[in-house]
Amino acid sequence: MLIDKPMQTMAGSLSKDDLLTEAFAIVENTQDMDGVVSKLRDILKVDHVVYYSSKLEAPTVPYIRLTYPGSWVKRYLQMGYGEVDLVLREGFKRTLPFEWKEMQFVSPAEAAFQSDALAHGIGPHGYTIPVASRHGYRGLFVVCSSQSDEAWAKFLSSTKSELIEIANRLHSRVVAEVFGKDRPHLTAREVECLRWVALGKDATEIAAILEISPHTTRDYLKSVHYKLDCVSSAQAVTKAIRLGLLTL
Amino acid sequence: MIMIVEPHNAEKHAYLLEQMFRLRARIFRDRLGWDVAVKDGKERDKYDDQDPVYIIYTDDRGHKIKGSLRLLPTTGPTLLADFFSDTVPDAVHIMAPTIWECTRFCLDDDVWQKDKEEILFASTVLLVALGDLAIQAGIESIIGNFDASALHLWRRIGCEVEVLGSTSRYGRPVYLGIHPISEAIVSRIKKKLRSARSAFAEARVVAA
Repeated sequence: MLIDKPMQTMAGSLSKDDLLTEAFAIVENTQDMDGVVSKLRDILKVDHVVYYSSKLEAPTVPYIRLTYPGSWVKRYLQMGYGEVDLVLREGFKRTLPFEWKEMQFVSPAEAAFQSDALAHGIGPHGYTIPVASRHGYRGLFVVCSSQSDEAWAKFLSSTKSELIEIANRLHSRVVAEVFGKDRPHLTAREVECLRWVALGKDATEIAAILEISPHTTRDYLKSVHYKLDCVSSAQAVTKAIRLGLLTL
Repeated sequence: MIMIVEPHNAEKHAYLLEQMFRLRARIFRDRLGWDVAVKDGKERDKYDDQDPVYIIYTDDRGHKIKGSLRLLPTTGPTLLADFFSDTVPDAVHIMAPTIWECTRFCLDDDVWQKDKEEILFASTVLLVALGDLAIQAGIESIIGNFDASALHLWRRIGCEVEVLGSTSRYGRPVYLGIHPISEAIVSRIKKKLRSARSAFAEARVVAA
């Protein structure tokens, strides 16, 4: 998937579609994962982005890519904060996305960790998205910010669905790197929907042709997008043809 | 009350989870005659080890379970993909971060033995909780398995379930269906709930 559009400047505010397109292009085309998380941080305009996953390669060494300052990472390791870091510890015990403020700090050590994190510019706002894969491998995608409560609430409500898509795209890249990318499998119905897209039909028209609801048509297409790591149906058509999953 | 239970608060709600697994054994094995594994009176399967989200409907004090359901993201391992892969592939290979699978929906025997209105009410409470949770978590569609009566019930409540396929392989026909979740749909169901019972307070979602 090549995006020949130039990178937009950070100052320019991206539309939701552009944000997703750009984020997916970053995940697809940036060589190293450190570069991926820092570029994502820039386009999302948050303070930090972190990706963790478990059970990859050596089970005791988590796979972590983050944008936190080196001083904080050093401090974190020195202090053994991994023991009291609820975002990490509790994150892998959650399936629904959650805001940091939902977590209850019970021990003094957890509270001390939280205030030290704040002093290093981590938080107070944070959103963690647990992600899964068919192999059963879990990951966490985290964004955090020090902006005002109002600005954070607005950011989260307007960007939540994009964050979830990006979190899953990032996870599928890591899963593919570690386990190899399985050739995507599209069902007969998914191919059918995609073929009509290729012929220029939109979801409502396809729904009428297939005698299903427009919402279900979009669900099939969302599934195609996810399986092919695409943000749009147009992109999915191109990729499906290239992979030999769709012939016109 | 409604309790949302995930691994992080499972210990706190161990008593409810225990009741839920027992309820599932009574409903799915005893009442519906499904071929499910029951051990020590509890029905559990491997998807319960995949850190699902449970929505549990209890009495006002949160002590006694009235119904429950189980949610898993379709991006991870799912029951439907494993059980209906060869019979209804189009339905069960749908995968997307915004589409989740709902399985093991059940109501307590007490509810079943009461009138149809009680069944409708309890199911509606669970569905409203599901709707609220879905909107909060960015979930846009729910895919699930239904028998004929559950399908009828769901639709009567106001869920726009579209049947994607069915199979009789496991005995009585099972329908695989998907339904959208949106603010509009959830608020419409809430309205029905309000008019169904003045005791709407019962349906308040209590963060667990």
